[in-house]
Amino acid sequence: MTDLQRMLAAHPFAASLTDDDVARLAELACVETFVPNQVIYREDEPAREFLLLQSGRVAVEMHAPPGVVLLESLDAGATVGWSTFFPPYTWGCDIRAIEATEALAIDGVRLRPLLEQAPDFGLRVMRALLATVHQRLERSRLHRMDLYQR
Amino acid sequence: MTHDPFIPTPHRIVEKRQETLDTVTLVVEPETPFVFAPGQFNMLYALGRGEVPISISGDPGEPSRLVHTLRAVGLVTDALAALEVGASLVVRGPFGSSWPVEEAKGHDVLIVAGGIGLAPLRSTILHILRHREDYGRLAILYGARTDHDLCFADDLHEWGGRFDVEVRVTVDRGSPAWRGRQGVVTAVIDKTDFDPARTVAMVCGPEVMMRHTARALRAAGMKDEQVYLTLERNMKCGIGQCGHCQLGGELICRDGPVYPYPRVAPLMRIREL
Ligand SMILES: Cc1cc2nc3c(=O)[nH]c(=O)nc-3n(C[C@H](O)[C@H](O)[C@H](O)COP(=O)(O)OP(=O)(O)OC[C@H]3O[C@@H](n4cnc5c(N)ncnc54)[C@H](O)[C@@H]3O)c2cc1C
Ligand code: FES
Repeated sequence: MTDLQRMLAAHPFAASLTDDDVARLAELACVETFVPNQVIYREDEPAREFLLLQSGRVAVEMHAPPGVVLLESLDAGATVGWSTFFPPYTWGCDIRAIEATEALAIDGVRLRPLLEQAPDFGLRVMRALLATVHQRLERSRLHRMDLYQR
Repeated sequence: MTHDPFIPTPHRIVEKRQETLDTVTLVVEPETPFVFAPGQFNMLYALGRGEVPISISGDPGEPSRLVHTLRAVGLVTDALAALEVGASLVVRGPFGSSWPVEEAKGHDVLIVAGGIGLAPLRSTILHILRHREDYGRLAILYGARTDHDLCFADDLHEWGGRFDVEVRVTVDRGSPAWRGRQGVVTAVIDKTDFDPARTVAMVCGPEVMMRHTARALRAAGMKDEQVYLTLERNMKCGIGQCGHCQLGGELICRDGPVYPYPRVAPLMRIREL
């Protein structure tokens, strides 16, 4: 296993992927680092990659004049950047590093056709993606409940 | 000597801390040691308004100081929160079941609290820290509405600074100055280092939060039997006599408020209760 493959395999996103899947994704991956406050993605810009956070913390934000609304923070282990998978392939919100952050960036533009060409691989990647979407949807429902005022 | 739980006893307030805008901690020093188990509660009386159950948030190993932390949400708690140092706090107790600190010996302990729910767990945390060698890893996960609603901020800083405690705090909505986590408390469970096979979880907060925490713990590999939580219902007598706090077959003041999750999970699913 290469270092990239090891990093990828250790990330929760890869929990149900095979070694071959990990090797395939690693071909499309590189390590990226972000400094505190760096805007990583901006709403409406093309979504070309997604991130598997290795360390640090990022904010999911929405620009809502006169300010910015922080919707959620994400730590190591999170998957960021689902917009890479779905039309119109542009970011739906801003992503900003809160702390120094390291992530594996996976090239979504090159990954998309591979998912179609190898449906088994595609299904496993989509399942992994759906698991993170499901988890985040549940959390955002709880978030909306204003739990602690009850 | 233990206090007679049937007799309301006035104690002078010696210290008052404003935890948040609507939450205060009141400290009294009983003339005789006030012995209690972590998780137990007292009935606190506000003159002309009534009595409410409030958990003991102090250190069970320091029975000369009796500590309560309460959020002002209505008639009685508003009056209690307005009491100042020197005023009299009328206390009856202690009542109810306690957190499983004996059963948890030799295990990792995961504390999950939401909002004012950290108050009844604070006594447990202080107990575990006092007997640190009896327990494995200790993780404290705490969620609040905003960073201004975090109770026990000094304690959280102190515990977070220790090498033998993992503290994870998250808020629903951070102020612009907040650089910590933002999101629900269930989201930090899978970021926490614990061995699901040898962990006891103690959970306190609003019921929805506790149900979803139990669900997240199950997803992390824990069994429901390893999870304990507290139930809240209105109370009058506090001693299992009036039936006011009945939930199904349980009298929460006597059989609870701390329960193993499987015992109360079916009750928590019934919509009408
Ligand atoms: C075993 C036990 C331990 C408790 N420990 C603590 C504790 O350590 N600290 C603490 O602050 N509280 C604690 N509570 C909750 C506390 O007893 C209630 O908040 C209190 O009884 C409310 O009485 P009140 O007269 O002030 O409000 P009421 O006048 O009875 O209620 C006013 C309004 O507040 C709402 N309300 C009532 N209770 C709550 C609540 N818990 N949260 C939000 N809104 C509420 C009511 O629905 C109503 O709308 C505990 C409860 C139990 C059963
Ligand atoms: S409060 Fe009276 S029975 Fe519980």
